[in-house]
Amino acid sequence: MAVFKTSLANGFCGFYVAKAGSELYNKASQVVIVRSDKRTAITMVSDYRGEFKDFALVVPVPEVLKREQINVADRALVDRIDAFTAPRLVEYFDPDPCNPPPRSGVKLGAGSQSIGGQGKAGNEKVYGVTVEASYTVGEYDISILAAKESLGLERFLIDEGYRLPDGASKALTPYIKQGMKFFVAKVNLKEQSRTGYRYLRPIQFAFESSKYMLPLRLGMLNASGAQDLIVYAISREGRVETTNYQTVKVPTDKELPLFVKAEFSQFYLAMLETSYKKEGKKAVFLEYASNMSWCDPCAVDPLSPEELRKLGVFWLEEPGTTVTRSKGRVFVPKRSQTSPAFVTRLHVRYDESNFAEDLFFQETGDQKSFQGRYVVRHPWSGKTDCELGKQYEAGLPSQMEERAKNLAGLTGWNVKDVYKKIGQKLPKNMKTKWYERIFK
Amino acid sequence: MDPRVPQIFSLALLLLLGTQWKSFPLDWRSAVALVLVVTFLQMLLLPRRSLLSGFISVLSVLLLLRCRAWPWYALAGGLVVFSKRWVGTASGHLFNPANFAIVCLLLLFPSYCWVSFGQWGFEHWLLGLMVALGGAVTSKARTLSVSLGFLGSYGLLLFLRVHYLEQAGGVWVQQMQSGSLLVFSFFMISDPRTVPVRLWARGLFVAVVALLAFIFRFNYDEPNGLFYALFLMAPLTPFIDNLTKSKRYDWQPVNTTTTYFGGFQNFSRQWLLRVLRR
Repeated sequence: MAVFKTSLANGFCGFYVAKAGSELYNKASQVVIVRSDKRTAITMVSDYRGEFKDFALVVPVPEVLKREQINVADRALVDRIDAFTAPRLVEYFDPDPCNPPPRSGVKLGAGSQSIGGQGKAGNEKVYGVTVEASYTVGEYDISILAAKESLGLERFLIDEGYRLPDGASKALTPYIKQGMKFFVAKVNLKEQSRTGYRYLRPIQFAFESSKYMLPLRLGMLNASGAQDLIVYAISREGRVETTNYQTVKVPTDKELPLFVKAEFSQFYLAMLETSYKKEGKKAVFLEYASNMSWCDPCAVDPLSPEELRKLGVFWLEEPGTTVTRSKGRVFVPKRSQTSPAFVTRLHVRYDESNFAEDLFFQETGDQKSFQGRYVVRHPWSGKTDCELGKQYEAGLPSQMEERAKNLAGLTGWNVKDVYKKIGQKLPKNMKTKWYERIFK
Repeated sequence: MDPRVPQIFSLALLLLLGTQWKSFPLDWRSAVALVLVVTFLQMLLLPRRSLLSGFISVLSVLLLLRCRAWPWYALAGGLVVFSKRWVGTASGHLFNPANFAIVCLLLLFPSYCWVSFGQWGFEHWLLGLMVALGGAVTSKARTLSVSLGFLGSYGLLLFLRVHYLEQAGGVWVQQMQSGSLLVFSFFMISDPRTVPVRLWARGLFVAVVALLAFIFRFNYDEPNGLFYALFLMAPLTPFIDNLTKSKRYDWQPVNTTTTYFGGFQNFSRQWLLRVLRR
């Protein structure tokens, strides 16, 4: 939980009190994709919680990766970008209505406040599988495999001690046919104990490819039901979106009853579930988009150039950052010096039937900032014996109703229950469903 | 009735649904800039052509193209009229004006303009509505064969790819359920002025566009392949029509005496010229 108080100028007087980071979800993996032109750097964090010896990761990659293209990253980097981009709750204290603050332009409602292996190399050509390379990187034994057909690859992996879920070969086939290689990682227990960590660190790899995509399909094999994937896409110019699925903004800038402060996680989960169902379970949610160089205000400090570089942002080192784009594009306006990196946080809840295709992305020119942001307000508790104060008091119940309705609408919770949690009775004039009135 | 009228109605309805319900990131300034630029330039430079075509281009650009701010839409408007007035042969313009504007902006300003292919989502009724409106509009303009021919050949290529890669059938269904693909098929490639007249020539034309689009998308990982494919093929239409000895399609010219819209357009033009001469 981060409590920060920055940039009090600009009429902002709220506090971040809670965030809905990735720790909320049961089965959530996180991926950071840094990309500009064809250069791509991927950092993968799995939510693996079993025995280290049983861990296995199989990722299709476009080429045989050299040792220097693979790295093990610090988990804290991904936690930082998670905290920086997570949807958040903001807390406001209503000012004294009798002595309103001088800035008359500040609206009471929200809405205007948007922010800116060692694989056995001797086992070659068994089942048509070639071990193109194998390395030990950090606590991982990594092999890069090329395969001719999926059944062979499946048998090869089983021989190597990987436990493959049912249907693995079927899911592997399309990647083999596209000429992709397989990045296979196991935990080297000796190296792992040497690191001293009680968790597995993120694996990083960098390559050049015209494909801007994430292979989701293999991840569906060992899962029952929907899984959460959080993608942090770091680009040069602007927001990243999926080209083969609709990218939908999560509802944002909503005022909610005060009690949500204590149960922000439950609120966010329920809201996401409602939105997910509303979009037919086939949408990708945008939770955050902004230039990394500024935030107003920041939940946590923006990532430093050093942190960004460690996540794979390769262009920060280039002095002056003037870029010539490939693809014969004719004219590139001069880039402003203030845009080192643009980060987009996408939340995908995927399952086998609704996400038949892998995720394909594109970088857009959209530089507008967006964040999932929810507001609670403490009412003024002091004296209200002036005219404005009376008006303020009189307005409170309707505000309460508005917030209760917002909450009920976003989460699918019953308005009655919401009022119960607020600790008040449902106002009489508030319309309940007609059947609730007869069967009470 | 001029077949362009139902087309304008359909595009406007889709745009309304998109902005109100699918929250297309379009602001009113962009729309106003585009409408004004196209209307004024067309009245000045192409007095005898009906504004209806201009409006179709405006709506197509608004439906498909996304840019950072309104000046790029104004530029798109300029490109629409430019392609109608100057890029063509004696018998008519070469490119579908909206396609021309979109391709130029994507190539010239890749960091500022883009096409959101996934923007429509997968709602069946919405996709059904697109097919229904598109089917009605294209059969009125006698280009339903173009739309269906293109969708058929592109769909066949996608199907063969899915089959070859041994992917699940759901992949193909998802690929075909793209709203942007439907808008392109029913409202852009079906422009009767930029496709060959003879049926067999049309079949060949759309098959090649489909093949090019497929190659762009899967060999070059270019999500905007559809637009580039049509852009590359459109200049061949006059030659194909010459070879097959067919007269190129043309919309009815503006009739200033018998239609209300034509009369209105003529009146506005006279007024505009008077203002400019002052």
